Amino acid sequence: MKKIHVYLILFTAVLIVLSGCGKPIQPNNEASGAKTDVKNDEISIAIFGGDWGGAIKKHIIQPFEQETGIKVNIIEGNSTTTFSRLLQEKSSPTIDIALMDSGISELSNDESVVETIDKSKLKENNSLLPEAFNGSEEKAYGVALGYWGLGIVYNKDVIKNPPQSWKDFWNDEYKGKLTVPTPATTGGLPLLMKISEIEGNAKGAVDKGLDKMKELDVVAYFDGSGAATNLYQSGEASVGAHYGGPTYVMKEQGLPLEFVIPEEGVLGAGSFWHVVKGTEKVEQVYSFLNYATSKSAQEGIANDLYLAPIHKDVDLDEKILERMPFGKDGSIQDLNMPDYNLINEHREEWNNLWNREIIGG
Amino acid sequence: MSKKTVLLLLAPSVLILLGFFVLPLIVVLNNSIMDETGSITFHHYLQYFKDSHYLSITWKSIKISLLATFITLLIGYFIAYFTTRYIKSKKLKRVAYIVIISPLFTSAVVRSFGWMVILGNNGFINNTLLALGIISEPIKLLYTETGIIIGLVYILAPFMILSITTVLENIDSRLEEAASDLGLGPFQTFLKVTLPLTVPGILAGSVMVFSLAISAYVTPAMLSGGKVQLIATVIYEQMMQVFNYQFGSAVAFAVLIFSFLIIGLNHYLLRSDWVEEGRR
Amino acid sequence: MISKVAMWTIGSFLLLFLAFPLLVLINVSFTELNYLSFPGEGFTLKWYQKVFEDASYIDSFLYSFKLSGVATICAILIGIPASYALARNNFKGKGFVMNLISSPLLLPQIFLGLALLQFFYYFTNSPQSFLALVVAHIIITLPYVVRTCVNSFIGISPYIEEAGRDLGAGQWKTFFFVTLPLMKSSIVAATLFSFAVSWINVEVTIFLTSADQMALPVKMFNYVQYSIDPMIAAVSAITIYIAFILILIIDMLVGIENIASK
Repeated sequence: MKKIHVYLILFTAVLIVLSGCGKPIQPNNEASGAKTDVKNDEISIAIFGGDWGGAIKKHIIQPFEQETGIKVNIIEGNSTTTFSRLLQEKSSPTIDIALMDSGISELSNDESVVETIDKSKLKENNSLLPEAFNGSEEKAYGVALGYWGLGIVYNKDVIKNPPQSWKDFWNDEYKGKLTVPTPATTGGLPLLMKISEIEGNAKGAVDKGLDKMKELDVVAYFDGSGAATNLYQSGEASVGAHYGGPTYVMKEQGLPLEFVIPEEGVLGAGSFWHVVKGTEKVEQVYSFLNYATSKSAQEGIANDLYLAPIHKDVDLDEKILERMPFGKDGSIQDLNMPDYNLINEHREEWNNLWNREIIGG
Repeated sequence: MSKKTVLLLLAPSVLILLGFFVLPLIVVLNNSIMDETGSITFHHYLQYFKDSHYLSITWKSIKISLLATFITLLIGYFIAYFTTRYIKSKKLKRVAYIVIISPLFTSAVVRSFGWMVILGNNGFINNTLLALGIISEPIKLLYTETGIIIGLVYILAPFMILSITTVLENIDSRLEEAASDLGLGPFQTFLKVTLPLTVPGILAGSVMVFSLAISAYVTPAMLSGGKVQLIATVIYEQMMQVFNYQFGSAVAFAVLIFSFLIIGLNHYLLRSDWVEEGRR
Repeated sequence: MISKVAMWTIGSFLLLFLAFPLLVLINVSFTELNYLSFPGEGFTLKWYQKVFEDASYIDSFLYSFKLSGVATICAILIGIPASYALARNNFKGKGFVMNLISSPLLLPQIFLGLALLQFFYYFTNSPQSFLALVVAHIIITLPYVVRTCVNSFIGISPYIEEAGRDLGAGQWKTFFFVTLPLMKSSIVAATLFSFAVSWINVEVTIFLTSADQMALPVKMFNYVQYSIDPMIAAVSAITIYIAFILILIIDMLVGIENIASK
């Protein structure tokens, strides 16, 4: 009896090994493909996870695949993992298009892992807002998926006096119920910079801001959108900072949350498509960017994720318009866009200061 | 066993580790001692060792890992002893093993959310204690070092329990009987016979648990709420936020050395003393 | 008697401590609310439905299963001989080999992940492949196999093997028919550790995951960075059920109460 078991286990073992290793290493390996024969019928795109990924697949990738017949290999991740991968793969990338947020977008240009966008290749170029591109007038390196921003959130069942400005975070009522971002998330350093500015720091200095932040009685800091959502969902935090889109998603789910545009304006950010340097599929890449910037894709993304669109002709419902990061009657220009290049210059230094001053040893 | 056989048996493991672990590490080590121009520098190591901030975080991480290991050992040993010696019914034993093993399979990402529901200010424990009138204000469990330790102990307990049960079940029960025949009480029997015999299990379990605790990233990151920093989070941050691979690598190597020293010490202490007594 | 009651009370309490977070997840996965809250309200299977409707989750489950299965089997196949050699012999460099095998445990895995990405990229130009992932997972699971098995081999008296050889069985025959059966419990424990460690790994896998094949934990990790809803609880509840099934299979094969005995 025992013998049979041993044989049975050995047999299954061999079977699994064969089924796993027997196959060629990856028939559609992008790297070797890029070197020898370029497979023109597929393209690799790095996007985000969660409902972001879901909306991008639904409104951009699926129509693109259906209409062009090009297969999209999706790599889910966040901006920083995607950027790390691009850095490691500098000479021959396995990714053709990469979606990355403000801050990391500028970094990817500094590290020259992304190409300059050839605007003339974009079909909809004339119907796009100037904000559709990240970078300078002559040298754009990112095409926006949409804009969003960090604002104020509160739970109306718990908070009696809703905050109106970033300055209100120091109210006694919010003690122990508050959450603000760490430098790990896109909105973290912009908020620190804003507080420093309010406290009278000159550009590029944050010492006064850090001192002020130290006085905040937070229940926890959040290092990403998901972590913040979780804090508000579980009721651990009932007031603080959060991004607009996820807040409205929670509101739709039935949580008693409200999003407030601070007096100082929402701290804006964008998510941008980047053409990875070294891609050999230029044609497919621009064909994809055309889908990503199309009117219907822009409408879909705005409806699902409450991202501010960069296509001039989009038609949005009243309800969606109210939920734009700049409020009902605003435009992307009303967003308080931080200087992400300045932030990148100080990224390491400010991270370091945050760790020492706010968290401590 | 002939030398040739030994070599043959070890070869696959050693080769795969040399090829795909040591070699990649050398590449990274190389990075950690290079500056931008390609000449050798110990700048990154000095930066770490000269900075009391990083040293105190390292010390705190070691402390938390040791504490978590110790608590895991106590709880794990108890559970292991209880399941092997007290649960006699096969069905109950089955349930116990399912409970012990299944936490291993749920990703730390999601388990941490379970903890939030349990340990939070609005969580299950605080709400229960508040409702019972035992406390008047929520106790802060989450987002503290305590919370991190609870989370680590939970995640690492199965490793300890299984390491100890494998040894415990294999102890010849006649040894324990003989001890009580010689007039030793149950507690003394445990202390003089059972415990020393389980030292290999304790050792294996502790090494695993300590190693996992000191290198854990996801659990501390999620249970600290950005309020506690450990050395693994520092390394992660250097790699993934400020993209300073050289410094991140230097810190990781330094911590690796510290961990080896601690594990070596642990081996030395336990081997020299208890194992011998058990053998006697 | 009192001590017995005390043992049972503490023992059950500690086991409950282990089970509780899992029960929370399972409870939340059936909630009718659209957000995570414990205890959940009502009973619905819609979150499970959502998971099963998304083909990419099924793919991820299967992919992870294949990855962990292959890596575990390889780790066992190369780990057991190594453990045997380490347990039965004293030789120069034994300490070095032991430390070499344990060291992947000690490195923060994010570091290992980046190192392997660089390495595979440098030498093969195709860093993300199933084979690369299997190799990486063997490296992170091997320490568990060896740690667990060396002890058991030490625990098995060499005299038993000598007896086997005295009875005319050769060295290999003795190993396969005398020693290995005695090792059953440790091999099962090693398999469990190794499979579990590989099954839940995010930090190494995230860098080596290829475009169209996403291991489940990486997919979940990416998901919770952007949204958190009961669907993710359903996904992890499903992994708990899979663990149940695996344990039941082990139970049928070797008897779970034997998991820790000869």
